[in-house]
Amino acid sequence: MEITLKKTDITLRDKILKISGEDFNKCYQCGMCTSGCPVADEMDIMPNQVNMMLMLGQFEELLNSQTIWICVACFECGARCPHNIDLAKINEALREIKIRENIDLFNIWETASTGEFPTIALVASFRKFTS
Amino acid sequence: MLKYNYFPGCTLKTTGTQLEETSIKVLQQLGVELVELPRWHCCGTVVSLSSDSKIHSAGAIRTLIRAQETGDNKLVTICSVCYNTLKRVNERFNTDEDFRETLIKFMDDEEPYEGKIIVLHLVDIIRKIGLDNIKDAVINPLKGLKVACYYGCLLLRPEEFSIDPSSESPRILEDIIASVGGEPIEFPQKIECCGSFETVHNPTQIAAMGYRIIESARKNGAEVLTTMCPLCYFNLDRTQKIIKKTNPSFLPLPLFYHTELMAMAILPEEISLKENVELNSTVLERIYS
Repeated sequence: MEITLKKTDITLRDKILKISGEDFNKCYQCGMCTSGCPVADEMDIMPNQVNMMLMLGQFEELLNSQTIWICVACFECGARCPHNIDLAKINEALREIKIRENIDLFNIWETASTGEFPTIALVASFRKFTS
Repeated sequence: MLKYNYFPGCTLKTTGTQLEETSIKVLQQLGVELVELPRWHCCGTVVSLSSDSKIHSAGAIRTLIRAQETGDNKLVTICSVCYNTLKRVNERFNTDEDFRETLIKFMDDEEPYEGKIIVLHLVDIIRKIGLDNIKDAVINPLKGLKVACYYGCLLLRPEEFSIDPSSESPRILEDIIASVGGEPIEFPQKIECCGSFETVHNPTQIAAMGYRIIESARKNGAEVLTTMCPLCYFNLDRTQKIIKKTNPSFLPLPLFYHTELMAMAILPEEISLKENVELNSTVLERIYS
C-alpha cells in the first residue's frame, strides 16, 4: 500500500520522530504494548494503534485523542516491546506538540484545589498537562 | 556509623512524612545515618521524555551539584519518582554530549557538574547492610503477617534503572519482608502502575486501577499491602476511601510503607500511626502483643 503524505503531515511526522527519538515505523503490530498497558481500557485508541496510525499519517486524529493524555508513562509498553520502541516517549511527543501550542488539558489550579495531593503528583501534572 | 548523603524530595516532607521518619529511624538502628543535603530543591519530578527538552532536567542536575559539593560521590533517595528522575537524568548527562554542554552553559552560576554522583535508592542501602544482619536485628517479628509487596513502576522501569535485577519479577521487597518475619505473598499486579499523577484530575481512573491491585492482593491471601513509593501509597489509600464511599460493604486492606513494617520489627520503641489509624492499629496490636 502506498500512502502519500501532505507536506504539512511530513513536517508533523518529522516533529514526532524528533521529539520522541523513537522510530514508530519499526512496529509490526504484535500488540504486546496494549496487552501490558494498565490503562488501555480507558483509552479511545489502543497503544499499538497509536503506532499504526502514525505509520498511516493519521496525526490529527491522534493529537485530538484521549489516549495521549491517559498514558501514565509507566513504561510497561516499552518493557514488553520486542523492538524496544518506547511508546511512552511517543505519547509524550504528541502531548508536547499540543502543549507547545499553549493548550492546557484542564485548569490545574481549579482541579488541585479539590484535594490535598502529593507534591510529586501536582508538579507532574503541571509538566504533563499544562503549557 | 556509616553516613550517606540523602535527598528527600518534596513529597517526603508533605504527604509522605511517615515514609521518611521510619526510613531514617530504621537505618539508624541498623548503623547507617542519612545526612540530608543542604539547600536541596525539587528534582523536577517526572523525567522529561522529550529528546529536545533540557530545561526540565535542570532541577535534577542542580540537586546532583549539591551532592557533588559535599565531596562524597553517593546520593541516597527514598522517593521512587526522585530516584527514577535523578538516575535517568544522571545517565543522560553522562551519555548525551549536547545535553551535557547545554546544561552546563545554562547553569554557569554553578560549579559544573562532573557527572560522577552515584544515585542510590534506600533498597541499595538495605542490600548493603545485608538481610542477614536485618534478621539479627529483629526484636519483634511480624509473626507471619501475610504481606502483598507492591512495587509500582518507577522503581523497576526502564529495566536499566531497576532496583531489582529482575524488573518483571522482582524479589527484593519480598526478601526484606521475610527477613523481618512477615510472609510475603505473590500476586500478579505487583508491578502494575497505580495511576501515578493522573490522581489529580482523574480519580475514577485511579480507583479502577487501585481496585485491581487491592483485590488481586486480597484474592492471593494478603492481610496487608506494602509499598515503597509515596505516590503509590497515596493512590492506593485514596482508592480505598473512594470505594468505601460508594460501597460501604467494601473492606479496606491495611496499607503500610515497607519501612513502617521494618520499624515495627526492629525498633525498640513502638511506632505511631499517622494514616489510617483505625484500620492499621489492629495490625500494630497483633505485632506488639
